[in-house]
Amino acid sequence: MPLDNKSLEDLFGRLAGALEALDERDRPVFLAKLTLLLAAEIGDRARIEALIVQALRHLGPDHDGPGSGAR
Amino acid sequence: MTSGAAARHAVVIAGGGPVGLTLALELARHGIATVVLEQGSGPGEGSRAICISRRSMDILDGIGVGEDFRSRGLGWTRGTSFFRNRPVYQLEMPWPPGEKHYPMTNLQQFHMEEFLIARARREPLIELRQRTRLEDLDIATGHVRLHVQSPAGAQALDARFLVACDGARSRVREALGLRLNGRSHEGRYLIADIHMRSDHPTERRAWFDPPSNPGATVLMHRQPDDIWRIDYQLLPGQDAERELEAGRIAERIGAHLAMIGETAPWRLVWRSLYRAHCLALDDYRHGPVLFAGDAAHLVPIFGVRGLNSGIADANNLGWKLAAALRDDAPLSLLDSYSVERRAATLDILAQAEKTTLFMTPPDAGHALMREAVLSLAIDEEFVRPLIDPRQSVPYDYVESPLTTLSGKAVDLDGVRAGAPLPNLAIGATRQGRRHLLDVLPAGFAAIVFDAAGEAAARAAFAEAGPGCLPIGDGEALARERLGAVPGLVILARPDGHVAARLVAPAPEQLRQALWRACGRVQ
Repeated sequence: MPLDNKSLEDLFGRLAGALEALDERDRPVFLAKLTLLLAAEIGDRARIEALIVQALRHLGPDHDGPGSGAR
Repeated sequence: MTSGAAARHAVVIAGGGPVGLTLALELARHGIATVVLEQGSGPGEGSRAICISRRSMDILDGIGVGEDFRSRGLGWTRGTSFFRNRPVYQLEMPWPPGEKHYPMTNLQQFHMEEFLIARARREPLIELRQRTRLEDLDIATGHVRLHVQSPAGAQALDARFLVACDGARSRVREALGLRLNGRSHEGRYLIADIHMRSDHPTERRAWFDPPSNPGATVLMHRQPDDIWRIDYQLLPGQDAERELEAGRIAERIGAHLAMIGETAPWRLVWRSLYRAHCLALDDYRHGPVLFAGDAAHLVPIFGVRGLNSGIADANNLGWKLAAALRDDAPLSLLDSYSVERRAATLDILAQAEKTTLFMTPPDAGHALMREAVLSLAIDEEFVRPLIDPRQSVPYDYVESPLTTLSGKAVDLDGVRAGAPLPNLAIGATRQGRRHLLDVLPAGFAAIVFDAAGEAAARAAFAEAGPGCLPIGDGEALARERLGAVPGLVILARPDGHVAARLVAPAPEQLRQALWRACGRVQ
């Protein structure tokens, strides 16, 4: 079920706050932990792999991201 | 230069370490004489390979050294992994009821070599030539000519078969211009033996990023004689030469021992440097030359697969070489050695690669994900399997050309076709329980569970054929583990692997399975 705008805004702020509260070294670890927890919640390997590709878009030197397959 | 006529031998084994000596003893068990060439003059130094798997112990029993290993070694079943200094994973290795040996037994490699050398010296079919270096070799029609150097001078030997068990820097491999293929990992480990009295039980302990050695991974194993093996990772940029200095090692190990609360005095006994490799020859047979152990493949130490896979190589090759030399099987049976053991190596490398990526992350991405997993594992069970060190397990030759699959469910029941037989308690003597592999007839054997199975086996095989081992109704545990059903015949190979599981087979079916297992059916 998609998030409504209010929830999305709240989560945006909650994540920003959590990231801000951490030191620079712990921020990527936090995001990686969160990713693993969300992956476990989703429980659908194909869906998670598709989301990884989606998240890689517009990142990296060529703005397509490594392994995105987008050209 | 070599002088004089060359003596001829059926089998020469280059290398008198654990793999070479296990092979020599396997061949002796099958009545084949060997000459073993060993550069050293006795057991090596340091603990080196220390963890012996249950399957290896079964093989060592078969060559008459299992009791030495068992009485001196330290059996164990469990392990603990820590993130920093918090436990995050508990390794529990199964020890099913009736199995003879612990899942793992710790024993220093030099002790293993002591026992194997002593056993080999008592064996009239083994000529162990120490302080003898293989200089060169030529492959000729029907034999291999070896040029060796010993205190007695240069000599030549002719061998119908040469088996290279001469380790990671194999001279045989070099002389034949063969290369190991695969990849080596960047991560380096310093491995050290220390003498220290401690009551901590025998288990595998691993620390990731401990406060004592930030960023590194540290492993710790108890060994006999109050020796503790400590392996710790060297980080990129750390100078190996400086890290090998006794003072520097004392500093790092001292910090670790203080962190875990060990206060007893300790001293450094031995140290070395280690790097993880995932390398193998493309083929373990090159005509009359065969490769085993580290000469054939180099695998990471994580999961204790190096020595154990070498022992399995020797166990696999011994009976095949003996059968080929006695003309009981075609020479092509030796090709199945490479097929089966290469498949085992590839499986090992796939497992070890995963473990190595976790133990020594090769890049920032793997390092970040590992830290996330370890941090989550403090509370979350679902990530803990990622920390599992994937300890060595025996390889099933289910896809081997020697294995007969009936295509029925019975192939997979109990101990499946291709798998090694478990060494289960069976029957009793005044001395205690006997075990399946101790009472299994030598050579091929038919295990049967009722009169119908026994009649089928006896109808199929003449007096000189496989021996028959009935397992009666009183052996409920063994019958259950072996997947007994009415009329079942399990055809066991001389190395204890299941060649076929057939229910109420016609004599011809059993004879076909035996022919296939001897390499006679392509």
